[in-house]
Formats: sequence, C-alpha cells, structure tokens
Amino acid sequence: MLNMESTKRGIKAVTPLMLGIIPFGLISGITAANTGLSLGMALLMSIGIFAGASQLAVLQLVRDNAHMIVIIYTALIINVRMMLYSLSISPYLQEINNKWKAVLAYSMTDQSYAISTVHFLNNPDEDKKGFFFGASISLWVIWQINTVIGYLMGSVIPQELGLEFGIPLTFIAVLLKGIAGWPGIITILTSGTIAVLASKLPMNMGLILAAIVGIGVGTICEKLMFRKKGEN
Amino acid sequence: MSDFKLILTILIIGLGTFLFRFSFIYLYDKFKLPKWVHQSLRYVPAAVLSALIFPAIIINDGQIWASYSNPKLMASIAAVIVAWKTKKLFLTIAVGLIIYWLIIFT
Repeated sequence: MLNMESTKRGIKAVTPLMLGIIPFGLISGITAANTGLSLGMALLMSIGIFAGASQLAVLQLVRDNAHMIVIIYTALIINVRMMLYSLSISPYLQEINNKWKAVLAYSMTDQSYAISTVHFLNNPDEDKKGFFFGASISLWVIWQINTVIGYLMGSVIPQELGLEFGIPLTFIAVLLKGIAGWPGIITILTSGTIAVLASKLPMNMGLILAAIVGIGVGTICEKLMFRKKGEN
Repeated sequence: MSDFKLILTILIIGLGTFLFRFSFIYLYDKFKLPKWVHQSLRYVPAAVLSALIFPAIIINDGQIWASYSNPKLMASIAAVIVAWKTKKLFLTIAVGLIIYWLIIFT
C-alpha cells in the first residue's frame, strides 16, 4: 500500500537533519533521567507526545513541582503550532484513508512537515503519503533510539557541548532551502522579530502571535508585489 | 508528582498534541476554506520556523542578546550564509555546530 520509492526519497530527504536531531534526542533522554523519570516513563513521554520542545518544558515543570494543569497548558501552547502545519499540509494529504491520515498526523514533526511541503511544492507528482511517511517515521525512530541512549548514557555526554543548538540549526537549513522571494524573506524577518520581542508574553503566546502576523505580512506582500507587476 | 498523575499528564498532552496535528488533515475535505487562507498557507513554514529560530538564538536567560559576542548568533549567521549559498542541509548544520564550538571552546 506504500510507494516504497517515495518512502525512500522521504527518508533520504531528512537524513542530513539527523545531525541536529540526534543530539536533541540525547538531551531529551538525559533530561528525563536527571528529572528522576523511569526509562519506561521517559519512553511513554517520547512516544506519547513526540514533540521535543514540549517534552523538555514538561520535564522542567515537573522538576519545579508545577501543578498538572500548568504543565498540560504550557505543553499544549507550545504544540498548538502543529495546527498550522496540519492546515498547511492538508491539501496534499487527500484521497488517503483516515487510518493513514492519523498515522501521518501523529508522526509529523517541524522538520518532516517543512521538508515535505517544500518537496511537494516542487514535485507535484510525488506520492505524498509515501514521502511524508518516510520523512516522519525515520525521524521518529531516530528520536526514540536517542532518547533511550541519552537516558542510559547521559552522564557520559558533557553538558557544555550545548547540543540543544542543533535544533535551531536544522530549522535554519530547512527554512533557507525552501525560501522563495521577497515575501518569504519579509515573513521571516517579521515573524522572527515579533517572536523575540514577544518572548516575555506568558505561556509561549509569542510564538503563535509571531507566526500568524508573519503569515499575514507575507501574504499581503505577495499581493502588493503581484499587483505592481500587473500594472507595469 | 505521583506516577499516576505524571502518566495522566503525559497522556492528556499526547492526545491534545495529536488532535492539533490531526485537526485539518482530517477536516480538510469536510468544509471549504476561503481562498485567501489557501494562498497564505505557503508562508506557514517560514513564519513558524522563524518564530522558533530567532528566540532560540537571540534570547539568553530571558534577555535579548543581539551582539557579536553571542556565540549562537555568530554560528547561526555562518549557517545562514552556508544554507543560502549551498542549500545543503548537512553542511549547514555542521558548519553551525563547528563555529559554535570553536567560539565557546577557544
């Protein structure tokens, strides 16, 4: 049922990103161990939630003895950006049955989403299900393996390496690969600036605010530039 | 926090996160989105990724650190140049990490 050629292309497309994902998976495992979670609980979290930034936030809040409601609320606000991904990738994932839609949705990450949408835009004939599944599932497997390795070997890995920096680097790599034209650049600068200035807003609200304003500004820019071209 | 409460917390976050991911992938053909929403979708990756990248690089311990002495900022600028010129994912991440380590360890 799966187009293996497309799946392989999806796996191949995200493989270079492992350089940034593996260290982050290790950190997630190390942090779970340092927070006092059992290995089973650490795996329940990395399989059940499967969203790195929110997992680290949960662990931090567990250490701080935060209330359950605060932990849930904080994690969900960090992950609500996934709704934008879901909306953005949905046109490519039709004529797929609901079971597969659920599998693809569950395994979607920032990286597999971004790589896949850029690929689909440039390769409209790609088998979307196969490619997206390949991109997502390979990152899923790598994430789980490295969570366990990090959990078991955490004390061997020096904290000073700043391994968490690998993730913004994967985002930079993916972002610049897919960027197209001035509206895209203006979107990046608008959204980035707002995210920094709004970082003090409670519960990570700055992220969503920045993303939505960025999308709006990019769309308006495209409209204005298109209209100008039409007049000339 | 008790194990039971932690499991419950994880399961609720997991379910909520899944519903965010599944939402529009599931709903897409159930109703028609306005045309302007469709047009704006291509800016989602740029906008969301930027909103994740900039604070991760520039905010340090809750403070804005936009100076050449910020190792993450310098390494990111190098990564941006490599990404821009080569479009190579692995090379971009590798250069970013190496420059970062060179700055913090020397």
